[in-house]
Formats: sequence, C-alpha cells, structure tokens
Amino acid sequence: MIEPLLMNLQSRDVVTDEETDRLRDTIKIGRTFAPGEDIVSEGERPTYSTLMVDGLSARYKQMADGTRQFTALQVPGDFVDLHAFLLHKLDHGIVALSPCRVAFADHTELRRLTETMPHLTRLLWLNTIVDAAINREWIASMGRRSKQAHIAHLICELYVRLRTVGKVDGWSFQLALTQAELADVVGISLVHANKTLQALRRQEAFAWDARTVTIKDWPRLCEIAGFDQTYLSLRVEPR
Amino acid sequence: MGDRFYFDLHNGDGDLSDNVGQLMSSEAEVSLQVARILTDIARDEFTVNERRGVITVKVRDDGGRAISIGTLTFSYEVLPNP
Repeated sequence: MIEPLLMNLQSRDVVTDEETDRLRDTIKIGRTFAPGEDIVSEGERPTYSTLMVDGLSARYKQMADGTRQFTALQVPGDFVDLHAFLLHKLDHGIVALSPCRVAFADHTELRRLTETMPHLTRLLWLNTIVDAAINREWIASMGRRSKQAHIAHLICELYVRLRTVGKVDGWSFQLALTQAELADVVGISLVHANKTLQALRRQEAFAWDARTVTIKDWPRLCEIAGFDQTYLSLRVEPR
Repeated sequence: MGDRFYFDLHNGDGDLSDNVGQLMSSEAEVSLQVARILTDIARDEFTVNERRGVITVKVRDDGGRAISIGTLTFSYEVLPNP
C-alpha cells in the first residue's frame, strides 16, 4: 500500500529494509474519498497525517468572495498533510479531485519514529522541503510566467512526479482535473483557461483528452514551460 | 444556484465561443466575471510586443440572448520629439 511513498523516498536516497518495515508499521490502512469530498477540512486538528495512495487531491484556500485557489496538488506517494504533524491546526483544506485511496500515519507513532529513526526522519523532512520547493515554482509561475508557460510547467511537473512513482504509461498519464479546476490551480478565469489550453493545443507539445494527458514533444513542452526539474531534487544521494 | 451565462471571447487571435457556461447568481457577478476575464487575458496578451489591442467579451444567457458586452482596449504610442 505504501509503495508509491517508498518509490518517492527511494528517488532521493537509499531506504533500508528496517526503515521500510517501520513505515509499513506506521502507515495504516485508511479509506477512500469521493471526488469533491474534503480529505481534511480547513481549521481541523487531525491526529494523523494522510498519505495519498491512489488518486489526485488539492490543497485549497477558500476566498471570501467565493472563489477558490488550489495551492498544491498531491499525487500517489505524497503526504497530503505531513506538515499537520507539527502545525496541528490546518490553515487550509484538502479536497479529493478524483476517487482517492489514502492511508493514515498516527501522529503519536510519527513522533516515536522521529525519536528513534533519524535518517528516516530526515527523508520525511525532505518530503516537506520538496513540497516547499514546488510551492516556490508555483509562486514563480503565478507571478512571472505566461499562462501558457504556467500550464505547460504544471504538465511537465506532474509528468515527472507521476513517473517517479510509476504512474505513467510511456508519455501518458491520467489527470482527473476539469478545466474549472485547472483554472483554480493557475489562478485564472475559466474562459482564459480554455483559451490558453486551445493555444497550447495548437503547439502540439501535448494532448489532453478525456482525462488523459499525452506528451507529444517533451523538449518543446519544456521550452514553452521553461521547465528545469532540479527543484524536485530527484537524485539519489545521502541525505 | 442562479442562471447559466455564456462568455464568448473576441480578440486579435480569433474568437472563442463558450459552450459550457457558468452559473451566476446576479448581474453584478456577471460583470465581475467579465472584468476578470478581460484583465486575465490582457496580462498575457498585451505584454507580448503588442502596441494596441482590443479584447471583447459578449455574454449570452441560457436562451441564447445577448445580455451584455465588456471591452478592454490597450494602446501605446511613442510621442513625437518636442
């Protein structure tokens, strides 16, 4: 069940058998969520952190004027709220965008893990650091990239993240994101999202039909996006 | 839930018909949405070597009736030497 997490960690360092066993003991069978359901709601104080096993979810901020901004997407192998272990009260919600299967890591057991397994602790810490690196790229996209580049960057990033956890099929992957949800990710109106996607389609770097994205020209897509995957820290080295 | 409105776009690089629409609860919300669309598109398109441009959004209701229109114009001119 925690295989995607193991693949995630193993893409950045060696994970020992003892560490693998400890993670299997700590992260227990969770439940499933339907699309649109909150996995964690804003203001909650969860006593466990949630690992995405299968599906797509998003962190979001609900604005006073009724609009919504997605601030992060979680794919299999990502914790949706490892930071809740230390933050306690969540200042944002996490919503399932597709049917999601998740697993839970009780905070008492996570605390015990951090007190006994320093290297594994650093690997989990690294996970939250990579989350922050992704947030930095998203801020750069939001503020300085054109929306074509922003969407192209998102497609590049999701492809690399999903490939890391074995969830791509060649150059294709499933993306359960409606155009309205995409608009909430990149912070634009639905009409502009549609227009930008249409312009991107004409460049034939990728196709997006019926929830399947197929990359047709990776170098071209990276060029449109200005994508450099260094920020994802996908190098196996001692951490 | 409100009524469904359609936001058709007209600008320099062609027209884009809205065949999905969005639910809006008031005319004020429609007006805000038009402003949002115009400024969104302006940010991307007026910043790419454009010295002038016009973006127009026409709003239709569920019956296909045109109910409002919003326009944003940008122009840049070099002033003659004094």
